[in-house]
Amino acid sequence: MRRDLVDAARNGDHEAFEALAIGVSTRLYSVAHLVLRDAYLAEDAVQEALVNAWQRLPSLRDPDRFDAWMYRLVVNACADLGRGRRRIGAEIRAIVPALPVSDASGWVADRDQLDRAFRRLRPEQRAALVLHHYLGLPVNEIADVLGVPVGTVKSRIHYGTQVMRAALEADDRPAAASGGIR
Amino acid sequence: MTGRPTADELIARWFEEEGTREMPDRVLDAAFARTGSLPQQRRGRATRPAIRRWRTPLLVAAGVVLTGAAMAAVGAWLSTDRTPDLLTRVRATGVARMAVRPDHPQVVGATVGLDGFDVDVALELGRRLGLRADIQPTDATEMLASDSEPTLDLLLPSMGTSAIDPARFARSVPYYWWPHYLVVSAASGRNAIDDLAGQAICAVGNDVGESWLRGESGDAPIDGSVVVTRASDAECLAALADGAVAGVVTAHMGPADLAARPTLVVLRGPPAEPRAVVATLADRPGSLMAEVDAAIGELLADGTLTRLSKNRFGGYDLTRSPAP
Repeated sequence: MRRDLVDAARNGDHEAFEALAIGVSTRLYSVAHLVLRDAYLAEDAVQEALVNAWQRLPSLRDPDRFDAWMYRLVVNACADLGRGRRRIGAEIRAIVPALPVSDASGWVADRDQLDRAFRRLRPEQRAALVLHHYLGLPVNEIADVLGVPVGTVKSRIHYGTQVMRAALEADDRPAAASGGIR
Repeated sequence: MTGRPTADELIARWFEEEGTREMPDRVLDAAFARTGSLPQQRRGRATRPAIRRWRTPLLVAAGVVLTGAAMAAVGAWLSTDRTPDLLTRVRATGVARMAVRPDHPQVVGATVGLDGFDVDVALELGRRLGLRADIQPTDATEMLASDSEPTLDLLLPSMGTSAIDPARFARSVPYYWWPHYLVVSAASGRNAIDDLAGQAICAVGNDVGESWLRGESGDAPIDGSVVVTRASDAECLAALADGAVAGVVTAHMGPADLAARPTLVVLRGPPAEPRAVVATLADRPGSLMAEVDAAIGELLADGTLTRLSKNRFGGYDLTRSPAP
């Protein structure tokens, strides 16, 4: 059924394309939002990816790879938008809310540390982490989506995950040393 | 005791929470508005609307002429050549079957969806010709094989036009020029082509670099040099790193690839080779190729080819004829 939709869309059927786009757009938006850390940029990225998809559908050889192909398009759109906004993005800092008293588990603080650590990563490292940790794609699939060797994907995931772990550990140290409430 | 979640559990939770986002409807609305006005293939060229009001009388007149012509043509067709003109065939189907070679740097990512300069060019050509581009990854040798079935309408073999047999194929005007570089190791201290006299130099087998080194393309061979061939640039560069050869003529490395390798010094190389779209001689009157030439002219004039080249070749415009 889905394959039929892709085939129909490749042949210019707008309704088929819209059905496909509706099915995949929420995931695309989540991926874009995670990579770009900006809701408006994520909207632009999804829109660009969908328009690109429509125009480039004749180049999609295997209809069964539609989702992977869409992930590639949205990651590419994120990279394009990210390049234009990097200087601005670098100046944006998350506003750290005061720790709520009820945050006994320390999740708010952890979340903030993870967010800061993730923002420090380069867009290509973020993309690899998102495809791995959020979409749960295997590394060979991620390599296909990103168009890089499997080894590069492993290295990006390893490095990115280490950065995020380190942020949590760094957050642990002063808290433990001072005996502060987490 | 519940214990603190592990770092990996916290990371997984962060991705799960951060990834749960509601996308505003305006995103799809805006995308569909744009795709609605951007067909996959543009029917007709810019001049088409001016013809619109004359369409009916023209069609009637054309019908009369065509009826007569068709009767004459059928007789001629039955007695002589049964191969339909390529332009007629692709116009009838609305599809141009276009072959691109599935390797770096012209096409990448063949496993997910075709991507790359030649794919961009093929899609743009399809739009300009008012045809849907059915893009098929095909090995360059297979595209030009003498016994291949004419199952492809337009070929983008991304090889020098001099390698295309004009007795068998029609060629468009070039849409880009691919460079070949003679490179040496920066540490070698060599900085002139004469420094390679008597040395072994590597080129990819059957590539332009090999024939240039052997003096088969007009330039004299480097004095006393020995030509070594390998299957790829990577293998040649490995031989250079090992000291097995003193120089390499690149086949697939673009200017951006070289810019990323400061350990290499460019001395010179064969002239950049023009690369063209190719059609089989089923296009006997050359009508489809004339349309392709016009479309490439448009793509050059409006900057589309330059944009595609810079986008795919690391910021370099390879679509202009290089200075001699």
